[in-house]
Amino acid sequence: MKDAIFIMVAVLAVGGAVLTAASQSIINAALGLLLSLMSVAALYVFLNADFVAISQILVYVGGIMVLLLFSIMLSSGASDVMKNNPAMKVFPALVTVVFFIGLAIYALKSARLEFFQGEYAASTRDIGHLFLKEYVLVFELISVLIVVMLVGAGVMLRKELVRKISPGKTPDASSGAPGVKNQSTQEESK
Amino acid sequence: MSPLLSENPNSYLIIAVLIFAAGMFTVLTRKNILAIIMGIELMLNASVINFLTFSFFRQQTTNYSGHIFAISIIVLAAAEAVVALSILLAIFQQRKSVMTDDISDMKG
Amino acid sequence: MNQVAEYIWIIPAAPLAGFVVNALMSFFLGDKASGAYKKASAIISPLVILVSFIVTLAVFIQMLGNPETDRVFSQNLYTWIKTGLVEANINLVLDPLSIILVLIITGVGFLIHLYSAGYMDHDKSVIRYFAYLNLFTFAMLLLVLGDNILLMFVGWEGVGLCSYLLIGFWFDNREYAIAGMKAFIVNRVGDFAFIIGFFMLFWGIYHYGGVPSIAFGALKDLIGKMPEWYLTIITLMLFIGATGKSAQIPLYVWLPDAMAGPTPVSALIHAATMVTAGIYMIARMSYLFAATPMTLTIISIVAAATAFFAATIGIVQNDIKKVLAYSTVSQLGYMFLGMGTGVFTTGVFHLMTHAFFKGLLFLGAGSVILATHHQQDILQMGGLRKKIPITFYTFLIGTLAIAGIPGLSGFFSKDEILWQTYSATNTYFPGLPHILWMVGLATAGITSFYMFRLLFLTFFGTYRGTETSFEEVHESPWTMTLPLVVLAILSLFGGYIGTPEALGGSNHLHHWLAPVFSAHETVAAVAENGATMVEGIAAVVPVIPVVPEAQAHAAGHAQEYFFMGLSILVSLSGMALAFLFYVVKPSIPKAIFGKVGGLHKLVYNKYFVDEIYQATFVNGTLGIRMLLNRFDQKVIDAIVNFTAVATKAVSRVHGFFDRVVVDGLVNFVASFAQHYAAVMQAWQSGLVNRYFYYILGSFIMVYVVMQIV
Repeated sequence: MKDAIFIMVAVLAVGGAVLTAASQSIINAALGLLLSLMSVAALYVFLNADFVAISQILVYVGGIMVLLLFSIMLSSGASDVMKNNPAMKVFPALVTVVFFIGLAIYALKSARLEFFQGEYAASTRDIGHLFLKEYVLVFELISVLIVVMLVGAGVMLRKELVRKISPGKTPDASSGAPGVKNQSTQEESK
Repeated sequence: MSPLLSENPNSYLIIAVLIFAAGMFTVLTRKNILAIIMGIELMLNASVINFLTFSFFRQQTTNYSGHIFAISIIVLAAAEAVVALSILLAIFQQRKSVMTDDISDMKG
Repeated sequence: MNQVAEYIWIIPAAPLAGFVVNALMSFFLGDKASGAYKKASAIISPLVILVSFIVTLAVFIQMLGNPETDRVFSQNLYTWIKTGLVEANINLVLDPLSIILVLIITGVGFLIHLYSAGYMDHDKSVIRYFAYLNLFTFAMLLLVLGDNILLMFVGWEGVGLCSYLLIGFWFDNREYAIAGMKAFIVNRVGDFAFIIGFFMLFWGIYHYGGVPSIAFGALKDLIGKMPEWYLTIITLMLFIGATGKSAQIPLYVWLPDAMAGPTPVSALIHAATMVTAGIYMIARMSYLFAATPMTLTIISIVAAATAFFAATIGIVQNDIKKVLAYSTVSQLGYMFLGMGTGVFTTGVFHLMTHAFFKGLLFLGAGSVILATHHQQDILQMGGLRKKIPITFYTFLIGTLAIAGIPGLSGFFSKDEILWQTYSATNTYFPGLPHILWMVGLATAGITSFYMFRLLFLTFFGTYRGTETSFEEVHESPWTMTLPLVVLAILSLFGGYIGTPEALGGSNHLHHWLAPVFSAHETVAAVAENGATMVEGIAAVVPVIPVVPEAQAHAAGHAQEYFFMGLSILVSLSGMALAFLFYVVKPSIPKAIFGKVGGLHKLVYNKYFVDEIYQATFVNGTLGIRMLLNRFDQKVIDAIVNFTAVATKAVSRVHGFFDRVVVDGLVNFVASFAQHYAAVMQAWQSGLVNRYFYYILGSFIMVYVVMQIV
């Protein structure tokens, strides 16, 4: 029983990934990604990684996918149908296959893994303990990373907002005193 | 070795490889930047699977550091996606296009 | 005992001091000196010569008192050159030979200085004149007093220099300046031979061994050591030097032109002293010449030819001084003829008498010139004996002397030469002495003729002058006439010291000079007797084998009387002929000259010798100069141009190298960068997909490398 579900989940994950890779329209690709991510979350459950599965769904599916979909919509790429030249995909496919057949063979050959017949369940408590005791540095770094991301994104998009509100007046170095110009522009926008 | 596939580590590894290959193929082939970002997400995901697989199947003691790493990767992927999308949006305002051909300013 | 020898240095030093004083005055004051300075100069200059004369006289008296063997006074002044090979010091020597010359130089020199004071009275550069005259006297004394050949050569050159300075004294006149240069250059040619001569002497000392001193006394030893051919060349070279100084063929051409100088200069230098330097040189080194009969033969031939040649030119000259100049050349020929016989006394004797009467004649000519207000053409003169009697009578005495009229000095000396020439024996050309005697006799006749022609044309007949009237002709001051009188007295009575025994005299001069010449005469005598005392001379019989007196005794006086009579006859006939031509019937010469117009023209123009010299030597030298000039231009400039061309070629190579190689390198670097960039450009596609490929590729490479390592 477990096996059947497993195979189904696996097929879904790989199928979603293939869909992303091969689909013509971007929406199809996005949806394929969504499918894949969900399936992978289920796969995590099989590996007794409950917390990671839930966080995957929350972050990846609920956050990143949403973002991607929004971006697709905003960039009006949905209406476009991508015309990919099939012939141009040959070489990358070849490269990919070769590369990863090799990788797979290597991984399978060298991996010495055995199944542990014991208690293995990562509870939230355990993970929380780990985060705040042994891996506190990782925790902090991740926090910093998130802060940096927020600041960067904000910086990136702030100028755009300025430009959007006051069209027609773009700060230009060649037209008189740029400082004055800038200030007037910003005051107007505020 | 257990006869169950779900208990066989190789299956998980193969799945990870396949997803990674798909992701790589996406990156190499597609012209839409968003598609490329998707491919990157796929690749990251595949690596996470790897980590968890090794964490699960290689236990002498109760060691959950693989999970920590997995969470870190997920967060990192998120951050990276955010930044990439913001850059993309900024470019889109200028070029009105998200095809790689149109933003190859760095050519030559 | 010979304390007077301590004072020998005064003899050359006094004129030198006079020169310094005059030179300083002339240098600082120049021609703008006031009359007082000129008078002072005119007093000082003769005075210093007088001082020298007095000292010489003192030495002479001492010498007379000493026995024959002790008549050499020398004073060592300074050690000059002392190397292992050559030794020459500044020693002054007075022996019987040199004292005669010093007496002449200082005595006659003093008279001429005195004369100059009157003659150059109104000349603006009189101080410079006296400076040169004193310097000349100093140099001449050095020549005569030096005890070695090098010192003599210093004097030799010095008199050449002063001769140039004095001949070209009035150098504002271009022709006079050229005459001075001519004298110096022709002299130089002779001096060149002289130098070769005494360099060969030095080398001979080095090569054949001998005392390394070149004092005249020491040179006597060399005769035995050197081979005769070597000695012949040396003496020949020395003789050529003498022809330059003493105006023999071929280097006589300067002497007639030298008349451009003031007349007293002609008297001193060209009659009495400088021209006699050659004679003195031969007399000094008589032993060398005695050992080389070939040279003596050549000397005799050249001398006789010169004497005759110059006399013929003298017949037709119309300038007083030119006549006397050619006469000097001719008389010098006589002196050399005398030396050539091997009996050196005769040459010295004639030198002495010639100093007297030729000096007298020149000074007289100067007096005539001054009297007629600088007229020198005898055709413009005539009948002057009434106006300038003192000049006339002294000039007459001089003419009688030079013509060889018996009783006067010239007769004895000339006659001795002719007699010795006839009596000589020559091993190379047996008949030569007789030929030479005949030439000499003929020359005597010609001499008498042209001298009397001069006398008659100048002092007799009617005055033909057109520029100055007859009334203006005046006698000269006492400073000029006094020397004339003194010299006239000497010309009258000076010959008696050489009277040969044939006429009852005892030939004092010959006895006096015997110690000087006896050495060679001994050698000659021994050689004649067959004893081989020395190597070189053994095989050769010299020209004159025996002492003249022995010869005279052997031949008997009859022959001598005969020849004496012959020469008297010749002289008198010359005088008569001149009398005929120029006093009795002046039209005859014109007729003769009209008939032989071409010959006359030839002789009048001195046989065009000067022109021949100009065409050959002078132009030849100038031609060589042109050649060298062209060589300089073509070759040396070609080298310079070649350098320029070479530099250009090298620079072109450099340019090529710079363009092709260096720039090529630079360009290559640039193009390489471009190609590399082009390659790189292909990688920078701007496409993300491509970049991912690169990442993949790098990953694989790193993995592979890591696997290998």
